[in-house]
Amino acid sequence: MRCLAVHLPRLSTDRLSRKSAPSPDEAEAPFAVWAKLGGAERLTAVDVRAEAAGLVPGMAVADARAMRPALRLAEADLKADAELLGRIADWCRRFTPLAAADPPNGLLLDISGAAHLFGGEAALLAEVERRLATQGFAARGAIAPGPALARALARFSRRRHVAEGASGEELEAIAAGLPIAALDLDAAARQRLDRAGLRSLGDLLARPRAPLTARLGEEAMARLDAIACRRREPISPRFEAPDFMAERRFPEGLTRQEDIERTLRGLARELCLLLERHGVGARELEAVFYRVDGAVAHIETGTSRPLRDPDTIALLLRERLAVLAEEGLDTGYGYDVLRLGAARVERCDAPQEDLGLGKIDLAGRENARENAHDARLDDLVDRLGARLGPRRVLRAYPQASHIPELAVALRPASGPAPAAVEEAAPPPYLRAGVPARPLRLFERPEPIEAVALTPDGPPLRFRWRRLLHELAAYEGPERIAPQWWSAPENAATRDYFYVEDREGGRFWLFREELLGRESRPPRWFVHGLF
Amino acid sequence: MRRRIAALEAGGAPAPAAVPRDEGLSRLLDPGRGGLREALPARPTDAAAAAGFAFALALSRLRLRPQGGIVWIAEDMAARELGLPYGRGLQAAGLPPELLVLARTRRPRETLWAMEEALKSGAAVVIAESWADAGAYDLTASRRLALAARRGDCAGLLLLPRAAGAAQRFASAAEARFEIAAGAPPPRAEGAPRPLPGPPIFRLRVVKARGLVGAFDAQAWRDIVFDHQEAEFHGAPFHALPRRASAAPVDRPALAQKRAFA
Repeated sequence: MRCLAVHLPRLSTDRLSRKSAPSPDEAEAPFAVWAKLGGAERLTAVDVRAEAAGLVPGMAVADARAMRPALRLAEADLKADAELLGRIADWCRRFTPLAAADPPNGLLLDISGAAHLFGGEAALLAEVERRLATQGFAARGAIAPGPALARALARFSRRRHVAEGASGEELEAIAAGLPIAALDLDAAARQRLDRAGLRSLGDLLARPRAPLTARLGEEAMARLDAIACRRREPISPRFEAPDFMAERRFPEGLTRQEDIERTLRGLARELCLLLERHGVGARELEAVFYRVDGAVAHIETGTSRPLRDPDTIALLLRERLAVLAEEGLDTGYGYDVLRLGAARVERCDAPQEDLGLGKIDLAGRENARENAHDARLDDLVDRLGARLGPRRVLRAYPQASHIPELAVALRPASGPAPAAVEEAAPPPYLRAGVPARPLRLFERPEPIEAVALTPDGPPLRFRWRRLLHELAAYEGPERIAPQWWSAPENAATRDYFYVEDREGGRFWLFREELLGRESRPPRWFVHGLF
Repeated sequence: MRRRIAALEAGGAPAPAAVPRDEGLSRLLDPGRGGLREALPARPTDAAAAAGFAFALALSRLRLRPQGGIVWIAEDMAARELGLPYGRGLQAAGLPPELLVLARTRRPRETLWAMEEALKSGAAVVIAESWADAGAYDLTASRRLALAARRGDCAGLLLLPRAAGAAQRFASAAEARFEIAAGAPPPRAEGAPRPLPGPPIFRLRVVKARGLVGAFDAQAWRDIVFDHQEAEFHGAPFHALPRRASAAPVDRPALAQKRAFA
């Protein structure tokens, strides 16, 4: 395993200096970030100039001000730092799909088998550092056979590259040269070791193991072993690399929408070959675009059935891309890496080919046509979902509830139907050609002004949206009480009326009465229209 | 000549020289007819009736294609004004909920796009409700939809609640355009108790019908009723208004299962 670790020593200050270019007279001033640590205001990060001026993280803000009156200060924002680090990790996936953020200010890349794409490990290391530097990040990288060693080298050593075939002794020798700080011990333990005259990892590695374990604890020893590459330690990538993916790299960035679409089509074809070889179909697709200048754009889209047809995939992605384009797809200097992956796959057997024997019974053909129809509807659902968003393409599932708004659940149509379909009460009452439930329901009932003749009767007239409606015919009341087992404190009973007004408008009204507080005048609502 | 060409374009046989009025209507409402149709309410308050008519039309077509479905495209603004299609209501009116796909759109442009996609795919009957004005829904847009409907051999119905009353001064490439109003209940004798509501009556005016030129008087209103059990339109009234009686049990689930397209 080959591992590339990157250390971003000035992540917090770089983040802020990148964001706002200081005015010329301020540009020369040292810059530092501070935070409140244990009741005292202390520096947490310093930029190059501040470091040159002798400021170090951990110093009290007052002291730093005293030393450098021109010091510019900003408050630390750990969340923004972490977010930025995550985004840099995303960006690093252009080098290898296995890239992870290593908080608070590092990155780990598994570059096994990826370095040759960039002309060898040394060239890759230089490329990573150069690209980060052009984006305004101070970065130091190191490549080693284990993540812990690479990480320690990037932070505490001048050595930047451990050759591929290094033996165990060589690795231990390299680890031995690192300072104790590489172990990340707490202050007390560090002090103890310091007092004992132990300054480097070599001093620890030379000691007998048992007493050291007793002093430092298992965890620190495990870290020591990891740095010396005595045990393997996998890195956890920020995103799992999809099992099925295809990618293209371009020396020059792509800027034209057609080119991007054509490339995606090509990638879809490659991906489908891969999927077919494994007998699966994609349920979730993810396309990632890496821009030359570091921005990363994601397109994700789900499908309602396992999909392995390049044209359909390309069509879906085009819809998503169209949405991006509407929002303003900023191609900048262009995209130089395009990657298409199937994030989730499901088994998908190839449809049985018609052997042309001409002996297909009618039922079979009928079935095939029905399947084709289902496939078309599924494709349509996917396409609509890709453009409108999957939460806007819905299917209605009846629920076992008598509360009108809970009797139907709208769920994304691309998702699976709820496993346990609740047996719904049979609602389709028809009386003389009149459905008993309205065709349209308001998302929230609209209050109306109504006057009823009798306390439990329908309103004689009511005013809804500033229009007066006179009652001509009605049916009701149908009392719907709240579900007593889950009713909130102020739940109310509703008496529903099916009402026709003089003009022929048909409404579903209800009168709401608070349980136990019947003395209050009832409130009236329009809940639906027929 | 022009009439014959129009009829051929609509995919039918050449129209006979004169179509009797009611035969014309039943041909127009023939569920086998595909293409793009529009429904406009006569007054803003009739928007719900127009939507009900659209649904009835889709339902009657669905009976011919039992394996089909309904794609209902509801724009946010229309949903705010009219509410969303209610699964239980549709179920009560004879549409099994699993046949419905509800797509919610934000803008008229999205609605028209979604409708075009749905028509092109030919997968289902398409109902779209759009708050579009003349700027968004013009000749070009309607032409695209009409072509998509023809390509997918599909029936689409566009509901334009915002254009209430504008059916007569409005140009589009649709096959047919209806202006819909809710049929008023018959007047009640003084002092009589308020009756039960009868079946909904649609007052209908055919403003445009390609291939059936001259069969309709664009000024004439006619009343029709949709029979949910047979999924057919009838001339109104096919039921006398029921008199008020004590409520009988009305849960009749067997009826739903007996539905024509079960």
